[in-house]
Amino acid sequence: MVGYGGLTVGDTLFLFFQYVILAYFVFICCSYAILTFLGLRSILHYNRLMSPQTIRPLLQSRAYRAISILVPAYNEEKSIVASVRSLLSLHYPVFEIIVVSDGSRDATIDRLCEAYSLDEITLTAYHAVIPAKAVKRLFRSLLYPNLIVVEKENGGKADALNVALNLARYPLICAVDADSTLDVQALVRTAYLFIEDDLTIAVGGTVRPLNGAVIQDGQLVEIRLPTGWLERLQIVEYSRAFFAGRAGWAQIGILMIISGAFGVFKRDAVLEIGGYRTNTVGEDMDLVMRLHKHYRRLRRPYRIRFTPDPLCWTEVPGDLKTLRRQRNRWHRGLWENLWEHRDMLFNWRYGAIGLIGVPYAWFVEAVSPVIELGGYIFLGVSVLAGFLNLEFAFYFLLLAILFGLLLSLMAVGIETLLLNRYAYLSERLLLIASAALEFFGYRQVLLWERFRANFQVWGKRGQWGAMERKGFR
Amino acid sequence: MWRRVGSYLYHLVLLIILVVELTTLAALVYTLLAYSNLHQALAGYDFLKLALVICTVCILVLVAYILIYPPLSQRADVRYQRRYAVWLQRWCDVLLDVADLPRAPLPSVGIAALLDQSALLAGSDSKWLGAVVSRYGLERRWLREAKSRRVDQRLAALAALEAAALPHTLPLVLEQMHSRHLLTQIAAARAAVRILAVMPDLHPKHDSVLQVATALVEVHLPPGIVEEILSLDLRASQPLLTELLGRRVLPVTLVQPLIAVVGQLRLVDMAARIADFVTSPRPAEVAAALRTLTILGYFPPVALPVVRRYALDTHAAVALEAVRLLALLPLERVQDVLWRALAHPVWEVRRETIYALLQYGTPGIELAQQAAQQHSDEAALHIARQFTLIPGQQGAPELWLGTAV
Repeated sequence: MVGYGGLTVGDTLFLFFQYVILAYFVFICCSYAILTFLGLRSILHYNRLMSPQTIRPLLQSRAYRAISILVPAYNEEKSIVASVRSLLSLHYPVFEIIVVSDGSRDATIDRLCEAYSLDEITLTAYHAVIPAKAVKRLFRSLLYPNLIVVEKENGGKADALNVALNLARYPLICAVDADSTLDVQALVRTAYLFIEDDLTIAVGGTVRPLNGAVIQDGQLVEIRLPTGWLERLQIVEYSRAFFAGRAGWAQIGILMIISGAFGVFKRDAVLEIGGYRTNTVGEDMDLVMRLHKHYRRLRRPYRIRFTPDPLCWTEVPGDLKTLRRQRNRWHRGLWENLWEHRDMLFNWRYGAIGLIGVPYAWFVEAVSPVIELGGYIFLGVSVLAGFLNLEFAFYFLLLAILFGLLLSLMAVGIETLLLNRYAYLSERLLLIASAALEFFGYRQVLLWERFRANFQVWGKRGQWGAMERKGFR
Repeated sequence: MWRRVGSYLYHLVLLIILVVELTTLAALVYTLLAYSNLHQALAGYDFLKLALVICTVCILVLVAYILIYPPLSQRADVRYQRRYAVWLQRWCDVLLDVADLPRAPLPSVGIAALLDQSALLAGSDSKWLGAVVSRYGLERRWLREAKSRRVDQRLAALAALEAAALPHTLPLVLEQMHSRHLLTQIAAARAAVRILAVMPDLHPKHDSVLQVATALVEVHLPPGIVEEILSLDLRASQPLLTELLGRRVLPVTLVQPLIAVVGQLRLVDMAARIADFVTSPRPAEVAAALRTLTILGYFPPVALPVVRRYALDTHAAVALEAVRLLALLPLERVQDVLWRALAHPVWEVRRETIYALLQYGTPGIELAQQAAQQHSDEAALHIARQFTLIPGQQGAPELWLGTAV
């Protein structure tokens, strides 16, 4: 059989695959480099804007809009008291905290009752503007009038957020994970963006792994590197994802996800689109996508912004089983959202989101496990069949790894240099080592989990899976 | 949060690395695509190896930077702090006439130490800083930088002008209040108030007061910012508030912060003017006025029927502040309305009413206890129970919170 240009069909196919892999490699490298560059620009701009001179009057100011902090909690007895204490100590003029226990089967409510002298109040205060599972009990703290606790039937994180949204009274809402802790200036720094530009409807913040850090009286007092390699690898991953990825996307107005661990929204905007969608595990991405969609359809000007300030600290999985489960869920969430909003793909009505953001999410983020795994298999087969020059393959693979390492180190640099973190030389060395080790096993394990998730999207729709927590130190 | 120095250098390093890497990548792709079959493209190997070497060099630069820069910058910080302490001492000596003024030009650390003196200087000494700044002609640079396109430079210059508080810089500062950038507006407004405070013979009709007041009216700053700016210095705020509150027409967003500042600065002389806003058609203004009157401890004699009505108002903020204000009067005059306010649909108002009752001591506590047993409204009954019993001990009469108080 003769294929293209006198080559056999096998040779033509082989050539085709070579070019596909080369093109994919080049595209990924270029897009990551461009995003890193854009992210850096965003950070530089933000760094200037939030310099010590500027932040001083902002911190003293009382100009901010009041915020309702929504905290969905499910079986969080280990960390909920510390989390709420951390939230209560935030520097912000007016805010309320609404903790929603989503049918917790552990002692989440009891721990809160003991710590904050909760007293049950009548359910008349609750009006279900957005439909949600039934509320069983409503509590207010006698010690902190701005703390409300709700006990409801289990309905998932999005359902718990909807209940909290129904109770929220203030113009801004801030969704926070119960296992997260916020920087004391988190609300001030985020809410400033709403004052600066009235068109802002949502602001996402940088989320950093909390593992290894020391918390005292609800506040982060020391940032240390965790002892586990798995957690260290996630620190590198989070640095890259937030400082290079999201900061870059936000710079060109295509931010499609605001982390569920920390995000501030205009309450009216969220209510307008009917609150959180409950039949997905990617409710955070879904909310932002629907906000884009809603405002673009109505041709209303809006802005969804991102602050590179590390404002939220969250506990990342310390064991491989939980991590795999988390990444499986994240990838399923991505697919669920992309499928739900498939009409946005290459749709000019949605501007840059439809023409760049959504196609990138489809063809780079969602499909990447298939292509990457295909690449590994192709490489193995080619080498075994003697199609590929071993030396060439080795150099090419090495270049891919080194380029990835370079991008990771750039993000690590932002963390250690610009943010003045990890003062000990040993910690910085470990972080650099983690950036290098990421390519040997860790990425492949997660790649496999994401690959599997591609085929579990429909079977496991809406399933979260349990998360093992160690709690704060 | 972010490191104050070094960010530009790191960005430059990263920019160079990115450019080098992308150029290498592009050249590599170009070289490889020149061949019809990649595994025959042995000539491309050399370029691939070159790309590897460049990538490795970039990584090594970055690793070295990550490892070496923090201790270096830490040492630089320590050196800066030491120099700063020396300069601080030098300025103190100059202030106390122990030493002569240092020779020009001043280093940046010397200027920073000089400006930081502003927080420590009060009364007649506060003009010393301005005199020193004028002597060195520093304000000329700041006036230039206050118009800079770079936000951080602009803000730093305005902060310096605020610290120096030189009257002749007021026109430029007012010009910056009309900037489109909110942070610049805030910094300029702060500087304007500080400058105004050092001007002699200030009165509400002083030219500078009128200029600043007009700027505050024209520039739509968020209410909280106005509040903060007007609370900065009593000497400037009092004439400004008198002038602004004396105007017939004011932007709606400005009224509420002006009322609030009168309370914060405890300007009892203006209580009667604030009382006029009790009958405003805007609930936010009414609430602010009631709050200020509570802080000032002033109950407008003719306002009792209105305030009693407000205690049951559907606007929670108005009802809340009305209850607080009513608590200034003897219990017998307000107990009927407080009893009714206990049944207010908003929890915060009910809670405030209980606090108001507890303020009266034994008679108020007894009334709260009575409400906990006899109030006809279920919500009132519940809130009174919450606050008169220690949580978790309901039903044990000896544990009345009132007894403990």
